[in-house]
Amino acid sequence: MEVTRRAFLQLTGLMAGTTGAFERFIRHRLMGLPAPADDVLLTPHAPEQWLPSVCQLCPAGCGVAARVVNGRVVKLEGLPAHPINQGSLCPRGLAGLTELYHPDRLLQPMKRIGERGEGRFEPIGWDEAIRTLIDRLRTLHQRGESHRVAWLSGHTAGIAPQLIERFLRGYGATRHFVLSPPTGELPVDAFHMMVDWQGQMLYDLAQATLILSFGMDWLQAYPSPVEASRAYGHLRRGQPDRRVRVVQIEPRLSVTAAKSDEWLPVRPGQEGWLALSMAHVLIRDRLFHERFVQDSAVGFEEFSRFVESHASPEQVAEPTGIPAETIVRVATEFGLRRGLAVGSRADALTQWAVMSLNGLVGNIDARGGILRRWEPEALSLPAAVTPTDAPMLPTDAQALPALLQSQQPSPIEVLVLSSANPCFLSPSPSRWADAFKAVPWIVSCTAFLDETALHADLLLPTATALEQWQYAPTTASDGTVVATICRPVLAPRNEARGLPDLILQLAQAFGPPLDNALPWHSLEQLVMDRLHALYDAKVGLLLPPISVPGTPAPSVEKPAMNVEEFGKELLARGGLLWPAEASPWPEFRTPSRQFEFVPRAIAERLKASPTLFPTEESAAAAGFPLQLYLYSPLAFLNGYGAHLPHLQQIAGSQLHEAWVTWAEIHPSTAGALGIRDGESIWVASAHGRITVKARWSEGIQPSVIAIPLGLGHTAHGRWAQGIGENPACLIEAKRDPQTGQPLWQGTWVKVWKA
Amino acid sequence: MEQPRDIASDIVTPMIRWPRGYGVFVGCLLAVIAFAAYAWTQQLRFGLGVTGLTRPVFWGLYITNFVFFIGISHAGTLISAILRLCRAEWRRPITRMAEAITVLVLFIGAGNVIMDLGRPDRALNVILHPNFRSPLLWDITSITTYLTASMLYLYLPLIPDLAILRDRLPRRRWFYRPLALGWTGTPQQHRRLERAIAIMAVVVIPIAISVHTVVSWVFAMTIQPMWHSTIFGPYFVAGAIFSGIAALIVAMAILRKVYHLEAYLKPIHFNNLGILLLVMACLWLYFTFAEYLTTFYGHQPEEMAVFWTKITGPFAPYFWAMAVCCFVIPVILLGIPRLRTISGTVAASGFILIGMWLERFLIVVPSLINPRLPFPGGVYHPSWVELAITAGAFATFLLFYCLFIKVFPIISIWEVQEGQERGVDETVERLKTYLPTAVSQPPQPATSRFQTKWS
Amino acid sequence: MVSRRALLQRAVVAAGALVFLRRAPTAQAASGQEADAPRPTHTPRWGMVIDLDKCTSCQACVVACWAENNQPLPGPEAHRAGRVIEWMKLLSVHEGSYPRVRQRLLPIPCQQCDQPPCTTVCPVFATYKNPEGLVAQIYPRCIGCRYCVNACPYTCKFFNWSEARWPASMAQELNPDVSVRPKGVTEKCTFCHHRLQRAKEQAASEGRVLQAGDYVPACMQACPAQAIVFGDLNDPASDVSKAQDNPRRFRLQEELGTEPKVTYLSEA
Repeated sequence: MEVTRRAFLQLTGLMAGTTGAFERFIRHRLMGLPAPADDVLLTPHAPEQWLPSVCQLCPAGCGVAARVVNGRVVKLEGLPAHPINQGSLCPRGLAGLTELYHPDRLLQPMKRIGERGEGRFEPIGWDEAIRTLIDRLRTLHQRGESHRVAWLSGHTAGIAPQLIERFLRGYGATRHFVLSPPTGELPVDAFHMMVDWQGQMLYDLAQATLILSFGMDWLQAYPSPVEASRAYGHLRRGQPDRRVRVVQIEPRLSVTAAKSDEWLPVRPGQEGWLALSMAHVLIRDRLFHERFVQDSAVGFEEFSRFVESHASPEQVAEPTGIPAETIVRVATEFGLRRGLAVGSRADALTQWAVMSLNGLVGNIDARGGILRRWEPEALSLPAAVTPTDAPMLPTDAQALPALLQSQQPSPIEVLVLSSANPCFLSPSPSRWADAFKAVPWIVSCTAFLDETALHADLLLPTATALEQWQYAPTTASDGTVVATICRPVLAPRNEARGLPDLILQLAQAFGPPLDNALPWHSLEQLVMDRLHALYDAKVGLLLPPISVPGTPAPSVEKPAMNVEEFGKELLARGGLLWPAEASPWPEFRTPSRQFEFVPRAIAERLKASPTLFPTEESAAAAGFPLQLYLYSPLAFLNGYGAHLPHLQQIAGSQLHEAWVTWAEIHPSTAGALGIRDGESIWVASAHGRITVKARWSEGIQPSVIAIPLGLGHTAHGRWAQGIGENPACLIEAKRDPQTGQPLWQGTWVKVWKA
Repeated sequence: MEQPRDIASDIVTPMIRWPRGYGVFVGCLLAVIAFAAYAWTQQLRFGLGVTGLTRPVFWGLYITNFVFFIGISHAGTLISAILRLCRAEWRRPITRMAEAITVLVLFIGAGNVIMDLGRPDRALNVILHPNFRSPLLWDITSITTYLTASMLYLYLPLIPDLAILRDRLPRRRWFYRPLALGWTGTPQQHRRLERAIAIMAVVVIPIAISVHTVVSWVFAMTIQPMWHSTIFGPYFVAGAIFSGIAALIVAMAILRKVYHLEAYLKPIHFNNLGILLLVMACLWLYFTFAEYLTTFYGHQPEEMAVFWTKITGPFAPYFWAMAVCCFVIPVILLGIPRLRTISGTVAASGFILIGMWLERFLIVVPSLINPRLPFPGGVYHPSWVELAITAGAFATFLLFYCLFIKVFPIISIWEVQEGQERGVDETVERLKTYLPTAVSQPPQPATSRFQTKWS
Repeated sequence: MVSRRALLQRAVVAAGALVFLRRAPTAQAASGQEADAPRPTHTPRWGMVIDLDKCTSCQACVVACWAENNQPLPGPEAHRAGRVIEWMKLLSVHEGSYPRVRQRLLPIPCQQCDQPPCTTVCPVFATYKNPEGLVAQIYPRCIGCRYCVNACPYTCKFFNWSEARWPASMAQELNPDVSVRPKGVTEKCTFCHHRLQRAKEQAASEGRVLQAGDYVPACMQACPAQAIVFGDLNDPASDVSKAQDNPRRFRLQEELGTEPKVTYLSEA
């Protein structure tokens, strides 16, 4: 066979061509790779900006620096030198960007067209939405039935709560219900009874000398998670030659317990006995702070009489499950070091027991102890011009369902909801859906179509923190006050509007008398007003300029500024701060003007029966042998966060679980029930049942089963809906007799293999 | 006196016959391959996400198949080369089918690596940007060398047969003529050919051993538990020869049946290979035992995690099945002479093939399931795509083999002829050189062939 | 007719010239750069110290890393299949039994080994240790054989099993400094190498050398407890060198001889 040069070349060319075509076919058609360069390389550098804002995924109020490139926010960092977070952020804050760009956000006003709860809505314009709402309000107002409007808000950060109160007052309504989160709240009820009936408390964690936490998973569920973490780092290795010990008393080996030096696995509901027995040891061994007890407190005699007779370590060792010698050792250490006893907003008696420990060591209004929140005069809004000065009625949100159904027609005609989702996150959530049926008209201001919004007649899309002007005063745990004041990082997506702006627009549209109470057209106007006031008051320190590693160093501060320059600087830097001062109040604001060891409500309870924390053997006998312990991982702090995929992924890292509701159970308990690790089980209480994934854990009290709160959504976006189970439906809607707060813990359950 | 057989027509006749069963079988293979091709397009389009692979089980069936097929490739070249060098006369009818397995199966083995790549479109990067520190590149180097050498080693003894085919099958003349390279069978051509074959037989042995050693080094050079082992090289080579012989026996049995080669592949061939297989089974057990005992005795926690996963954990069924398939059954079937019949050896071979595939699987997957840091271990369930591609790999091999036996004589015609013509005399001659020399002759120290010649 | 010797000579000259020509421009470029920016006194070696006694395992680092590095979104399917990509991840180990139980929680990024087991095994040089000690991955070259992933004793490399997708609105939050990896390649923690590039550019534009604190990875920047210290291990005065000099120090699986540049400080 003769091969000519030409033929050879032709053949070669043909082969090369075919190979090339085939390769292209495989790459671009089959593998779907972009042509011609198949990888995204670094894009050329677009000009970028760092703009201050505030994180509102929880009420802590961390300062945020948003990196903006080409009008897109591409990263959130902590605002450097912000007193709350000092340049860092918690995982929630970092995931906040996903909330902004969430694909399932509510982006335009909607009107219900289906049945309540069915979830069929049709979009309407803002004008129509506001007109409908205003018409309703005006009709009621004209009929003199303003009191039949109520507002239910969930965790609302920044200026919004103040504007809601003003709106209601201006309108003549008096009911503003606030839903409290299930876990991670400070023991404010005890604080109100024993220290200050109208103040707000702070734990000065970072200055503590020993932290003894009673059931408060403070590294995960805390009102200000970044501050808690910062404090922990500081306590452990932040100070030369000083490492503060941390002791955790909790039925479950939480993250805090894992990071503590000692974990005391107490039986659930018995934390109070433990606190009282430690008080017993402190008094017996005279380890308490005598000067504080003598000079600044009342009721010590009564208190010590009670604990001496009812709460010796030997007496409580049995119900708590903690050996007497451990109690004595920990109490002694607590007394000698003058530690800080941290509690959560459990039942009033437990709160009281824990708070009394702080009283005994004199850690009230003291560095490293309990501080009182304060706010400079200059930060508060000018007094409102309101027609009534009628006091707001009790705002016990848990009483709302009963109130709604108390009479026909319902005492509430129009219910406005903002960031409140009781149909997901309250004990027996289904009772809320039933109660909502009685309300003729419900408006929900929400960023997502959540379980509660499904029952609304009108949906108003709210903007996230980054899309709004901000005027958000907060106090750090050490008492430093910071007002985060800034402009929106970007315009709201689509038709969303910030809740404060929405309230102001409603007030303006309603006209007198509402527009007198809220005389601003927009939050921007309000912020500008306040800017001038702050400039005139000449108080507070500007936050330092934003500097982010690897970006140009910011310009140096000018010594004197006129009001325009001040405003510009303030908005570029993100706010003002007031360094911590000594408590502005010389005395405690209690009836006796002193720290009350045994406040009146508690004294009555003590008289009634000395069995403060019953162990409820009857429940065990009734076929519910295990106690349910609910907790919120940081990812689902306040039960909120399951709609963000990154938070779902990290929620159960302690057990390497995610995207499922798991239940921690001790291997011995599980073994007795024939339940293996990873199996699906039923958990049932007298009120409901759920299926969860059993996880064996050595880190749990054997009589307890622990389930995280925050999963089990039936709405709220693609990443939340249908993932996991909601343990809230196991909980009876029971309220603390002293405080009216829902009692989340203490449910008895039984468990079997599914 | 028996009539000598017309070997050429015995071998060539089935090549040009196309029974119905053949077409149906090839059709079935094509169907399986088409399905595998569809599975592969799915994998190309959606990425390796369509497999059951996960973190930390990053390698699964494809790599198992790769190691298995490369192991099978030792059937041919190595065995045929060793038998040739040993001048084992019984080799003559089996060398060709063994060598064919080697060459064809190498493509399948290499193909499985391509299947395993996340970016097969960039496979050429191994030539454009080679990193010779990587055992994977050693692999590529030695496998390409082995493939080249094996093809040459297959081709050289084919030349005289191609000439026979050229002369016998005029319609395929266009194909065989260039391949026969003008072979006319002159003594000079014979001399050169035999010399070349002898050289290749020597060259191919170290290459073959290197291939499987390097394959084992892909695993052994990492520091992962139960991969990082010094005996992996010989262990893999032994396993490869083991599975290679088994594959050869199965191929022989099938060809004997379908090509009616009873006269050529006699029980003695199966018996001899069976004994070889028995030796390899014992060697395999020795290596396996040494490997597992060392691990167990050392008792390092990471190693023990893998160890128990295999012995009592989720992989225990596979492990014990492997032990039964690779040792218990073969030793019974091959160790008892009464059972070492054709069907006995074939059955043993079949079990060994299954067992050896399981062995490869048990080397690849359990080590990955138990990472050193106690992250939650993964589970590995191969997806339909992997199973389909695996089936496709086997089908492709069978298809290649089916085509090969229709195009090339599966028994070396000239070698068998040579054996018939000269083998007996040569063997007798050689045998004589082994025997003590006659007394009348002056005493000679030599036993070597060369020295006898010189004398 | 060209003689064999002449042909060889020419080939050698040509090869020499080729090598020289390829070298020359880079040398020029390098010297040009040196003229602008002050030259650092030594080559840095980037390392990290994670103080477990400060760490609260809040996982801010994990989420910060996701957000910074355009890692594919996690989801239930990916989690169940074990295919979530998290360059920084939390390892949780229980020790002991009730009630004396301890739980160790360790955030684990790529250990950036000085003797990386992953780089030597890569057949195509897609992963390598750069002069500043960072173990880098060249996504456009990776063939996706996953050998490096299997060779890593820390399980710190990740494979793109399928194409990373974001809902249209969420694609806006992707970091423009970091490439989105195609399917079929391996990826890993880079110590936020793009931040180093930016810091170097910035320092050069300001006519100074890189200073401590210019280059901070996203995980360290986010960490509320300030448990992460990062910097130049070759600079004995750097924070990271000082933090390393601690009796509590340990490195993961030190016995393997991988010489990780991530050091942990134990809890007590």
